[in-house]
Amino acid sequence: MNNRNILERPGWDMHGLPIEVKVEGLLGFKSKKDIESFGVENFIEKCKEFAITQKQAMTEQFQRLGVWLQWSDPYMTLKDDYIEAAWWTLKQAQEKNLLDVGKRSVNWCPRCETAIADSEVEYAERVDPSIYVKFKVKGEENTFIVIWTTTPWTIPANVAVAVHPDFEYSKFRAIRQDGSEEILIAATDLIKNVLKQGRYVDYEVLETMLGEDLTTLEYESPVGDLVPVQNGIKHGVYLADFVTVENTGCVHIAPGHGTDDFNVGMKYKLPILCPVGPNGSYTDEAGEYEGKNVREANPIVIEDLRERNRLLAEGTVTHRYGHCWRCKTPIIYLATEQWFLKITEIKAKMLEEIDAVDWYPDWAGSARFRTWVEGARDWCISRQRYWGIPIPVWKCKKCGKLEVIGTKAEMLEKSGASSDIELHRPYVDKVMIPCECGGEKKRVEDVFDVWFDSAVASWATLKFPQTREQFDEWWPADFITEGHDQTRGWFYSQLGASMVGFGRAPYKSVLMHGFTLDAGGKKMSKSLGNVVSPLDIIERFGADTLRAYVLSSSAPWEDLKFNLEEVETVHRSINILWNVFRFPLPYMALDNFDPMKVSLDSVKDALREEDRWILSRAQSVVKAVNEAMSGYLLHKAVREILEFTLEDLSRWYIQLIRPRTWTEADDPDKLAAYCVLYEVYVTLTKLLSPFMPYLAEEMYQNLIRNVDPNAVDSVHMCDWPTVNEAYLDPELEAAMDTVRSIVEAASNARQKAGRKLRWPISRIIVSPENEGTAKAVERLRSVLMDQTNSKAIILTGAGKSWEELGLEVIPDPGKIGPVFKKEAGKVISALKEVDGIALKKAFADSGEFELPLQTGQLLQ
Amino acid sequence: MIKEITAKYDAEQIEKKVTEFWEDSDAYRKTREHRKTGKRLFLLTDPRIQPGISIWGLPGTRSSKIPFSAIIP
Ligand SMILES: [Zn+2]
Ligand SMILES: [Zn+2]
Repeated sequence: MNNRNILERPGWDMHGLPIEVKVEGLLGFKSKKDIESFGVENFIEKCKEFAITQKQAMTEQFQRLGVWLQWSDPYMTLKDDYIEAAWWTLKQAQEKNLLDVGKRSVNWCPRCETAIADSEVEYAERVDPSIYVKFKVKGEENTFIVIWTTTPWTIPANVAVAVHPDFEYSKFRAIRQDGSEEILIAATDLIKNVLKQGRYVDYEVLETMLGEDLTTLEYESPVGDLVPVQNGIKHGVYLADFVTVENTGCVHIAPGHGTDDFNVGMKYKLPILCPVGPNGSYTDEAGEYEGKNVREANPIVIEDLRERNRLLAEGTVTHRYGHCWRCKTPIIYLATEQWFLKITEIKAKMLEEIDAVDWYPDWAGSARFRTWVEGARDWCISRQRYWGIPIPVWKCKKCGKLEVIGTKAEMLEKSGASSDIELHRPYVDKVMIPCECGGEKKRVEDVFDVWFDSAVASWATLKFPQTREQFDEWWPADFITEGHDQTRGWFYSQLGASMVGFGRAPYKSVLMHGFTLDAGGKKMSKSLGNVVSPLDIIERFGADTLRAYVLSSSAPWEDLKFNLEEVETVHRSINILWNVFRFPLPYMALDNFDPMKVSLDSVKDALREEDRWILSRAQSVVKAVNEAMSGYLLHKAVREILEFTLEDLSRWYIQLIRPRTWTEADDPDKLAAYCVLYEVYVTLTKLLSPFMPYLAEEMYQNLIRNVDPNAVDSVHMCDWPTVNEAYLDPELEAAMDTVRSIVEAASNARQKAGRKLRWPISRIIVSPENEGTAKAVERLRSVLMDQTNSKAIILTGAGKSWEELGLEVIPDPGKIGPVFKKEAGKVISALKEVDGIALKKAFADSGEFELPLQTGQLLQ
Repeated sequence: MIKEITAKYDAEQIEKKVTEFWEDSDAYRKTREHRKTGKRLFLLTDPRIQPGISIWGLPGTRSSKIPFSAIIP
C-alpha cells in the first residue's frame, strides 16, 4: 500500500534432525541402526514426504490467517538451488580460511548419535550422582588427590587433574572414627568439606603449598586394572584458571568428555582419550566397560571405586543439565572430528555489524544479541545424520587431500556424475572425484547443521549463486522478524554465514517478537495440555479477531499471555465496528446515495462542526497509526483504530447524526453527514486492511467497488492513507473533548437529580476555567444542547462563578487553627453553616465578617 | 450501489466470501503486479517447518507470520 515492490517468498525449512526424529517416531525406530537397516535412501524419501506434507498443511493454516505471501513460489531448503547456496558459502569459508576440521569436544546426543550446537542444548533440572574420588599419588605412601565429579562414567577416561596456580592447597592427615587414616590433598579452604564428605573425625595439616607446586605429582588411575589403556598414560597435575574454590579445588580432567577438559588436554598435549562411541556406549578402549551405556555405567563405576577403596563419598546432586533439543535425551560431551566455522576469528566484525542493523526493540540488538555473540564459540556445523544438506567436502582416501565443492556444476565437472543426481545422501555419497595423487576422493559423510540451512536463506531465496541477477537487485534483506529465542538461532546463524560469505550482515532491520504463553504465563506445551490452537480460535471468532487480538494485546516483542476473555473483548470491538459500518447503509441504500456524484466538496457549506470534528479525528488516527507503525508498535496502531471506532464513531458521532438520517432524501444536512461518514469509512477501511484483512476487504467491496467500477480490485491494492492536513483541526478536537466532558457532567447531574435524559432541562450553566473552555462551548453549543437535551446554555465569564449558584464554604483548619487557637473547632463548624454568598460579599465589601458561634459568642 | 449488510457480524461467512474473491480475482498476483514499479523491499521470512506444530510457530512461540503480514503493506 506504500507503493513498494515487495519480495516476500515464504520459506520452508525441510531438512534436519527435527524431521528425522519425527519420522523415526512414525516408523518406530529407536536408533541409527534401525535407519541403516531400513536403508538411508528409503529413510530420506520418508523425510522428504513428511516435509512436503507439513509444508502443505502449514501453507493452508497461514492462508486461513490471511497471510499474503508468494505461496505459489516458496523457497525450499531441499531444492538444488538452495543446497548450492549452502555449498557456495562453505567454499567461501574454506577460501577465507574460516573453515576448520578437527577433534573437538562437542555436545553430543547419544540417541540421535550426532553432535549438536550450543544453541540446540536445552537446560533442565536433573538428578545425577555426586562423588568424591581419591587418586593415589605415585611414590607416596597412602596419599591421595581428592576430586569431585557428577559423571562417574568419565573416570575411565581420566588423564589429569587440574588445580588453580594461585590457590593454597594442603596435604593433611584425615582420621576416621575407627582410627584409620589417610593423607589427602585438597584446597586448604575446602579441607572441612572433604572431612565432612568422607566422615572423618579429625585431621592434621602436614604441609601447605600453592597449586603451582603440585605439578610435580603423578598419580594412578583408580580403575587401571579394568581399563588397560589407562596404564599406558602418565597422569599428572596441571594448572588451569577455571578451577574454583568448590568441592575439593582439584578438578578431574577427561579431555574426551568436556570443553574445559579438552582445552587443558590440548594445551598440555595430553592424550584425548574418548573410549565412548556415538551411541553413548563404551568402546573396546574402555576395557572391562566395553559395550556398557555410560549412564547405566555410573553405578558400576561407583561400585568399582568403592571396591578399590577409591571412593571417598557418594551422594546425589540436582542441577541444570543439558538435553538434546529434539529428543530430550541428556547430552554427553565427546571429542570427535567435526567441521567448524571459525566464528571466534570474525567475532569482532560481527559485533560491529550488530550496530549497523536497526533493532526493534533496540535492546534486542544492543544487549541481548550482543551478549550472545560475545560469548559465541566456533560453530560446529557438521552433523552425523542423514536428512540434510550434505557437507560438500571430498577427501582423498589415499593422500588425505580435501576438496570443497561450491556448486552442483563443479561437482559434475570434477566427478563426471550424471546431471540428474539428487543432492542428498545417499546419492552424493556415491560421487567420487579423482585425486591428483592417483587416488579417489570420497565425500565426508556428515550433513550440515540445519541452522546452516536457514543461515543462507537471504541469498538462497534469491537463487544465488545459481544466478546473480536477483541477488544484485535485492540483497541484503530490508526486514526480518522472529521470536526472541532466535537470538541464538536464526539472527545469529544468518549473521555468521553472511560474514563468511559477504563480510556484512544479511539484514538491515530486525523485529524481535515475543512468545505466546498460556494465560498464566507458562510456555504452551503438549505435555502441560495448555496449548491453544490458533485454528480453534479462528473457528470460533474468525481470523480477523485472532489477528487483532494478537497484534493489539502487547508490544510485538513482549510475550503474549493468551487470554480468552481478551479475545472475546476484541471480538466485541469488531462487532461494534461492524455495527458502525452497518449503521448508515440502509439509509444510503434507500436514498440511492452515490458518493461518485455527491462529493464531500459539494456539501461543504452544509458541514456542521461535528462533521469537521470527525474528519479531523480520522486524520489524527491516520497520523497516530503511521507513527506507531514506523516503530513497529503494532499494538498501538490497532488500539488506536479500535478506540476511534468505539469512542468517536460508535459512542459519539453516530449518536450526533442519527436524527439527520431521518430527513428527506436531498436534505443537504443529511447528505453532508453521508459524505462525511463515507469519507471516514473509506479511510478506516484502508487503515484496517493490514490488521483485519478480511473485514477490510468486505468493507472495501461494498463501499468502493460497488459504487466505482474503476476502483482497484482489492483493498490491498489501495494506497495507504496519508494525512490530509486540510481536515486536521486540533483545536476543534480539543473543544469536542471539553464538550463531551460537560455532557458527561450533565448526565451525572441528571442522575443525581433523578431526571431522565428525555426530559428537557431549561438551562445548563457552564462556568469555564479558561477561555479555551468558553470557546469550546460557544463553538459546539448546538452539540451540547442536543446531547444534554437542554433549552439553553448559559456561559459565565472565564474564571467567574455564576451569581445565582450557591457557594459552599470550605473552612481551612490549617489557616484557622493558628489564628483562633482553642476556638478553632467552633469556628470551623460555624463556618460550615454560613451562607457562602453573604460571606464572600462581606469580605469583598468590608474585608470582615461577623460569625455567630453556637455558644452565642460573636467573633470577628 | 452500496448495499445493506447482515445485522450480525459473521466472520466465517466474510472470510469464506473474501477468500473466494481473492482466489477468483487473482487479487494477490494483481496486487504484486500493481506495485511492480515501486521501490524494492526485500522482506525475508523465516523458514519455518517444524513437525507437528501449529502456526504459533514453535510450541509456545508467537507466530512470526501475524506481525509479518501486518507489516508487509
Ligand atoms: Zn537427540
Ligand atoms: Zn590423493
